[in-house]
Amino acid sequence: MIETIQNKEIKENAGPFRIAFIGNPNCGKTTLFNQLTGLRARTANFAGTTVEHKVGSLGNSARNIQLIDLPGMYSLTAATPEEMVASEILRGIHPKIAQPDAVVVVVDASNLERNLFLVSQVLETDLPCIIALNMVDLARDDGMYVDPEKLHLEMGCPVIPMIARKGEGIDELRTEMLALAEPDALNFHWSRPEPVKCDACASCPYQSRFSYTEEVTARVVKNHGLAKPAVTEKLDRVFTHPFLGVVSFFAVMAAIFFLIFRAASIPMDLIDGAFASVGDFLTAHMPEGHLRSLLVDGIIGGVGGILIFVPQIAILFFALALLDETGYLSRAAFVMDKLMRHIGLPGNAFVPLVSAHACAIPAIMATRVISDRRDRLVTILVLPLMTCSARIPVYAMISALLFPHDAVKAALLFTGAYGLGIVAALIMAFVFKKTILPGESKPLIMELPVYKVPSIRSGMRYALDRTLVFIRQAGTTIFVISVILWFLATFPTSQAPEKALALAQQAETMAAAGQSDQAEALAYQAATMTQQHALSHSFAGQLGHIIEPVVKPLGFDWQIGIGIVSSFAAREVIVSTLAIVYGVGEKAVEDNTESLYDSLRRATRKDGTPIFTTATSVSLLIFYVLAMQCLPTQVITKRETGSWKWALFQLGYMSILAYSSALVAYQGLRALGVS
Amino acid sequence: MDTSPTDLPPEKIRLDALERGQCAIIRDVEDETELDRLKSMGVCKGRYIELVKHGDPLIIKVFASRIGLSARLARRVWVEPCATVERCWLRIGPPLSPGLPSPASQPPA
Repeated sequence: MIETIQNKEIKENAGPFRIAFIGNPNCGKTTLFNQLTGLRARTANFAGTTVEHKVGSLGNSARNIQLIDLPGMYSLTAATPEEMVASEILRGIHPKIAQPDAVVVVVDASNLERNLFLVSQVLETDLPCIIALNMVDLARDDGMYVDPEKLHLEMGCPVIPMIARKGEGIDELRTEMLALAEPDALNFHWSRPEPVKCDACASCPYQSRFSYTEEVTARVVKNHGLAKPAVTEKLDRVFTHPFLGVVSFFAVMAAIFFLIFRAASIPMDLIDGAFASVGDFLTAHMPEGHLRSLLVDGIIGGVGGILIFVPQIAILFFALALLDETGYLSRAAFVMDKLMRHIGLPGNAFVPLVSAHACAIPAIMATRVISDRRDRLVTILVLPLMTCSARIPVYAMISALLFPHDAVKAALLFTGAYGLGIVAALIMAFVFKKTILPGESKPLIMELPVYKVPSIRSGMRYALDRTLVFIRQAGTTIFVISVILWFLATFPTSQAPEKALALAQQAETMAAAGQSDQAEALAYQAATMTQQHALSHSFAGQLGHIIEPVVKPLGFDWQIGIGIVSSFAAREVIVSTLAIVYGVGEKAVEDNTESLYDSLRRATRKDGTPIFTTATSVSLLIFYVLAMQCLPTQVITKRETGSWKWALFQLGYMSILAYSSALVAYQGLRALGVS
Repeated sequence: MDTSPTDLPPEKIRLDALERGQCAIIRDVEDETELDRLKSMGVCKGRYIELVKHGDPLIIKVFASRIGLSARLARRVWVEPCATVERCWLRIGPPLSPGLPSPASQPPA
């Protein structure tokens, strides 16, 4: 005892009182954790792993109490990396993370037999422990009443009945936790149950422990025989139906996409407008020079160009959080499982694959539901092949080039591009499963939790949390790359061409003569010409020339080469880059896209033949469907896989795939006589 | 629900051979790490189980939870169908211990 007290004092001096939260999946642990920590929680990875956890502080206390949300798990017998880390930390054998000072085990009152399994294992670690008896309302609906006092006597630790979703019992739990953290809390007496004896461990080490939990449950539960009809069973008849289930899944995803593209457009316009006004303000109030250009074109343009996708990312996270909380996501994985097995991936890879059609970043972060590491890696690797919303401007440009006045053909081109991305992703997934990441995908074992009404608040909190992770992770990289790309496109500076100077002079004369409209047009023409000249002679322009021999077999000239260089970090940048290199002027992209498409169509090589022939346009489209060209995605791939190795592999294979496919398409079309 | 009493001696069948809605007691789960997760969810020797839905994957019920399970794994779980409905905990809840008052007389607090 004395030794324990000394240990405790050492821990006190060392830092906060740490309380770990543990519980079965779907027991409401995360909801409870969020209720207690509010916005003080943050998400982090456990040192040296990709296993995520949340850390937060318990407010309103003299003592610094830190709460750690461990991954949901059924037992301390670790089966997944998540469970391994959690189990090691709880047992105090993790090499880097110290054992917590106490544990709160969250228990689903409606499924006591199974939840007490983990409780009994946690009690055997001898850590001070509180049982949060959650979802007592669900138990009541099932016709059961769990007696907290009896459970307290059985388990020898405090039991707090609660409904975390409705905030009931939160204060009681907080009080209990504060009491535990008091320096004299050791007076707190534990009459722990005997560790579970294992008689038949050789055949099934789980058997005797479950017998024990069933016995305890029988002693603490009163059946009052008021079971409500099971809504869950009725809903599952539709949602897990082999046909109706798939149909309703696609209906749900379609609704989400509608939400993403509709609802996100408002905040996206606001963000776009805000960055544009800041840019305009700086342009108006700063002296012309490199600093202004760096701020306006480099940083505001680059960072703003990525941040504009944040609303979509946030809405997708929000929708997925709500779907998950209702319990529907596991049904979606269930019905898609059989189809997905054909390409060697589990059913729960499907929701990320669909989500990637809005943005690959939330999709990659949503692959955490896939328990097998290889399955998860394969899914992450192929996700960026799906057509994300940043590709839409590129598709729009190319469809306008190929079919300027034919909506039907343009629609077919879009469909084809989306289809190409999907087919490529499925084929590559299949190939990876056969080659570099071999092994049959893990067979499905998935709990289908009771359907619940989701909480908007917790959905928003989740979306906010995930979005902040994205901004924090990708923000710095995007910033640096924006500056580098700006540098490449700006230096070395060159003199404005004489023709542009002459035009500018002419504009001034006209302005002096009062012909302001014509003067403005001339000035714009001069500025555009200068811009085109400057970009062509910059490092980016030189790079375009350098890679021209490489991209020539795809039907691209050095100007498209510049476009490819500049869209390395964000694919949609190619549209504005092409506007500059073909001398349309950047403004045209916003003001009048038709004029951009017209000029691109009219653009010719030195010999007078048009650049954007059918073959070149198709080749460019295929290249942009399949190429990586998204630095934020790469940063997230690195974060989720734990190393740059996989991010670079992703970049490498997608570049090769994009290049060779565009090559085959261009040369094939040429051979068929389509120029 | 076809779980009428039978005079046949107890026999082990594979989990996926159960009728829909039929209840059984688990007699054996093959000893493989792949099945450990399933065991920690309650699909282990001595527990009661109900087959909710056939197919691949199929749905089972163990304790109060429903679990989606690939048929390949289900084939490695050996069960003995319950002779009568009454023997299945899943239907009637855990048997009451002698000291407890009768079920309906004590409504929840």
